[in-house]
Amino acid sequence: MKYLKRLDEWLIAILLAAMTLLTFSQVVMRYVFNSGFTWAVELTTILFAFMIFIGISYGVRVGAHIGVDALVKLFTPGIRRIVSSVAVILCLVYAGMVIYGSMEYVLKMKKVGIELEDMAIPMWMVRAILPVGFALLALRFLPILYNLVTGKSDHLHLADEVEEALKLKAAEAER
Amino acid sequence: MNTLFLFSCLFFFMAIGMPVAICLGLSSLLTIAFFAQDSLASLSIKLYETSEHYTLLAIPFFILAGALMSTGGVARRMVDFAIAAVGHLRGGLAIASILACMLFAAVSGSSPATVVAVGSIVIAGMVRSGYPKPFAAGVICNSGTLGILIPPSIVMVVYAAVTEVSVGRMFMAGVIPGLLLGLMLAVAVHWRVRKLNIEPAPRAPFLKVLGKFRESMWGLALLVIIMGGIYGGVFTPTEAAAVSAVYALFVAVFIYRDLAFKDLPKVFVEASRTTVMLMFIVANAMLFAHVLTTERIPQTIAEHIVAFGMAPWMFLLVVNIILLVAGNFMEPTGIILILAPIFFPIATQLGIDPIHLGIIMVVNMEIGMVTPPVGLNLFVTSGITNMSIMQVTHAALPWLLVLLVFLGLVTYIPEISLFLPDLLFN
Repeated sequence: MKYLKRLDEWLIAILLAAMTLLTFSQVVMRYVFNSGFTWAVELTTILFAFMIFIGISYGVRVGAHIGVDALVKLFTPGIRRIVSSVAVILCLVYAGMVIYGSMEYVLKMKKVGIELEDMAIPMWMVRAILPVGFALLALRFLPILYNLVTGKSDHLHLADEVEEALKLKAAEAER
Repeated sequence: MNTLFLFSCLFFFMAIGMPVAICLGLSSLLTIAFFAQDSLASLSIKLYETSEHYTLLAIPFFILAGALMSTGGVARRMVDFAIAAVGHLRGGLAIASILACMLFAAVSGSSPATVVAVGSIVIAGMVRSGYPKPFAAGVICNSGTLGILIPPSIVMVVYAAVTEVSVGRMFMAGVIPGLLLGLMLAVAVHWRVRKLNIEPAPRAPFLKVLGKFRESMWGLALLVIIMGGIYGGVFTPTEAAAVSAVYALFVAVFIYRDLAFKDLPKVFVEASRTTVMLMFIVANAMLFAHVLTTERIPQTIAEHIVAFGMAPWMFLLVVNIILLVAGNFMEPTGIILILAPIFFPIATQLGIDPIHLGIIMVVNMEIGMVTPPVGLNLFVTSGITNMSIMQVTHAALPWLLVLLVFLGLVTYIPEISLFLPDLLFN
């Protein structure tokens, strides 16, 4: 269970490693073996897409997305809770619009049945990561909304880049 | 009307603290839903197309290379070399810190990372040698901004992707301005320390300097690989980024041995988290830029400006003012993504080189990082020195003047940016 919880984290890290190796190997293939795979670039961009769209919900979970909180901080906790609830609801509206639009697209692609340029895989299968990713994103926003409405929290729990950088430094100092 | 709606939505969403990426995406989606007949399906897929943008693929690789190189040992060696090389001058330790920032900027594409890596080593040392703490903090806070000017630079990759200029030219264009800014800051240090009674370090013997250089050489070779590889046509900028990530891994694990195998997953997770955060903003900003273009907003502004008879120098002044104000409130990638599509067509009409415009934007972003309320470098410096934000802002102020003079030079002498890329690529 502990590992399952961190599945998204592992996935995006592995996708990053795979993208790097694939692109690097292309350079090696070209110069050492004077050849390469035609599908390598396409596969890399697909890995990239999976990394981004699986990653965005992970980003909400760990609070990695940056926002401007200068104004919200000025409010009293009560008003901040209401404003933040509106913000989360708007985030859900956003996710809903993208899910709806991309589902429409994916279904249309499935009907048309186009394949990828360099690989014999139907395009809709790859692009389906978009509705899936945004559905996961919406799922991650729900507990935040719940906590705001029930008064367990009064903010969005977004990233603080500065804290991140310093935390990293502290972790290093410990090593 | 639709322009007003688009921007009011954007500012409202930002004010209530929504993630920047979603502010950009939702305001674009709503504008199109209300004012245009594009289907939601074609818009949603624009988000996906970001991942197919070959130039943008360089971003995760540069972030990974930077993360692998930021493990302390690399910065430490660069600082040692810098002190051995210039420590004997008046204000030597401070000048060495600037040099170390320049060197570190050449392996990292981020400014706050440069401040943390170099600052956490040198500030304590400077205070010990008799520099006032605000002096040390101010120098580091400002010279850390070189991170996005000296290649590789993530901000430059983003600019190149939205305006479709070449990443290689953009990187080359950052080299001379980067050296010039470092030199200007060093001269300012040299001049300001004359009243402080600080004994410079004894001149290091040449062999020692050479030894320190050889130690830091493995890190510096990263820049040589990137620039040489792109310039020599050995690989594309995206491939160069992937090669530098693999190289950084090799150096950190096998040569410097700063990084144990068991720590690698942590570095990869960290790099992918940063990538995802950044790419989510980029994807939505691409959507935003798409709305701008379909609504012909930049073109309309451009027509007004040209009809108004605005001279290029006046336009550049306006650009600088807008960017300086925006830089106070938002982080660099977002600003570049929103404003570059607006400025770019206007600049082209007025005969301003897009590469030159790019460097102007990057320098403005540097200044935005050391001005409150949203100056990342200020926050980071405050964190590593335990000074308050107000104190750091005050400490950074005199050096900010240097940055502003530098901005003036870069804006009105295009050759500073264009000389090297024109020489090498034409």
